[in-house]
Amino acid sequence: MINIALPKGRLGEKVYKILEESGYACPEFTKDNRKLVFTNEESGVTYFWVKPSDVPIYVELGAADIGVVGKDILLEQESDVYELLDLKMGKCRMCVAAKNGFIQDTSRPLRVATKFVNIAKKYYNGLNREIEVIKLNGSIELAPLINLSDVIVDIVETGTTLKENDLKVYEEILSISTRLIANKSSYKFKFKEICAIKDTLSRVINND
Amino acid sequence: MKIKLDNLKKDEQISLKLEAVYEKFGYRKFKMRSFEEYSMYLSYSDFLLSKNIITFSGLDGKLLALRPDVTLSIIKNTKASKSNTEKLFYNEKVYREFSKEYKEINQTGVELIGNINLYSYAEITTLALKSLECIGSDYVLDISDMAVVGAIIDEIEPSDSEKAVLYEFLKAKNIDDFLAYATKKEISEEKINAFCALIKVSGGEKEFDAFVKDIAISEKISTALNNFKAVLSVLSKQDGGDKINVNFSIYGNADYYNGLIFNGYVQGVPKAVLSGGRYDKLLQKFGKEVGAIGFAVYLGEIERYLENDVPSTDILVLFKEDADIEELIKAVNDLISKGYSVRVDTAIPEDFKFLKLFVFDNGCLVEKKND
Repeated sequence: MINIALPKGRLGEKVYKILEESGYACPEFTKDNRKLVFTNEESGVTYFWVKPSDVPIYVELGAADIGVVGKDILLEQESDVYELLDLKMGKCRMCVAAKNGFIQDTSRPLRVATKFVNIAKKYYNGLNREIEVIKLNGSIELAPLINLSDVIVDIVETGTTLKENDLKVYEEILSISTRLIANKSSYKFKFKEICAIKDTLSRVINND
Repeated sequence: MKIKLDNLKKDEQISLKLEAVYEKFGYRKFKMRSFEEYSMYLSYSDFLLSKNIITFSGLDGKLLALRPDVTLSIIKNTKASKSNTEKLFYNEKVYREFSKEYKEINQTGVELIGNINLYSYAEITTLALKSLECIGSDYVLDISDMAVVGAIIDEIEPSDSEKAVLYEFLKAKNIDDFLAYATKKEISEEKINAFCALIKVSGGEKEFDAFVKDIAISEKISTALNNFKAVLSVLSKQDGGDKINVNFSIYGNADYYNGLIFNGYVQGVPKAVLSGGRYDKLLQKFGKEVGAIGFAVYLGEIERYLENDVPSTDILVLFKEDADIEELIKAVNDLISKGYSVRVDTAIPEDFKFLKLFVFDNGCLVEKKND
């Protein structure tokens, strides 16, 4: 039996759809109900819907053998898991953004507002730039507008939100996409099953 | 008096079994004190799993630390030389950060310091396999070789910071990000294939052989591979050799480890429960020109995943406070001398398991049948 942690939302549903069509269906799964665990003995899979940022925790601690999660969350949490496949979905960029016309004052620490504290720290450490991190949980774009921070580090998909708030991408840190991850211990004991799911997903994604 | 091993917690039972295994192979138990001078850990902090250490001032004003690791203490004290090999094991508590808190963790391990040869490799892996067998019936020993991994990474000619990136790809078995990186850096197809093969290897001697052709792209790599294959061939033929799995994604700090490194997994525990390898380079840093190989079993890691039966007492005796206490003591001692474990109380305690219930009434014990 393979336990799969899927992120609640559009991405999780998209990945489930592929698995469903490839023989890993769980008929009850898509029904609109409040159940959290779905098992199909025949195809040997159990699915859980979990909060996207919790997926690596379920997988690292072995409650799920494999999971689907964004690279941003993996990098932020520095999860100790195998990253088996780039699912090439949910593509976006982790960027530094600032107000249009922003000029950096290099004589003082840079004030950075972000949800991704570790990613921001790692990036600026690499540049040897001293920063002051302001951890926010939402509406990050507001910070530079009201002078709470100089810049923000956040995910940029289309750039529309930035544009509407008179902000622009200042630097690109890295590209983000959705990944298939596996627990290191499960990978030894359920090697064939995990590889079969990985290969199935890989085939479908690369044929798209 | 009869000592009931069943009443020990599972991790305590395992640690006794492990000690028995190591003693059978002629390893001597090494006992050490719980404090070390902090300066030693400071010098070798990269070797430690966590850099946070509990420190305090000794009576002479020197800064001391509660031991976060055992291997460094053993190396510091070893008198081993090329002609005098030491074979030691320990079963100690270590104090280190775990899930953002300081924890006291039970750690058992084995160290072989002195003259290292092919037999040493076989003996240490046998001990590792037998240790895993003590923990669970289904287990895997992942093995890798620092020389093979180092040779391939050198072939890609990365800078120091890029080396760390390549090790990250390997550790996470992240082929897709490596391919993106390789395209950007214009790495040759041959080298890309070799590194991807290194990531993909997972299996025994036969499965590994299928990848050798892709990996052996230079003289230096071929030499390293041949040495590793010779070791693997011996290890695979020993008892439990079918549990050996070649996996180059194991991480070992190249400043300390050289040669064979390994991690042990037991089904049902999500993280490695055993880890070790050859660490001559660490001894060199201590100015000791001898070889060393060993491993640690993380009993603390195992403890959380083992189901302990709540220990039960044989007999619970209930008495009223106005009872004849002298007679009660006699009756209880009588039961204990017959080999029963007995708890005496005035009421049934909460969360307490017992097999028989007796009530002390009118100077004698009367059994109450459980409903």
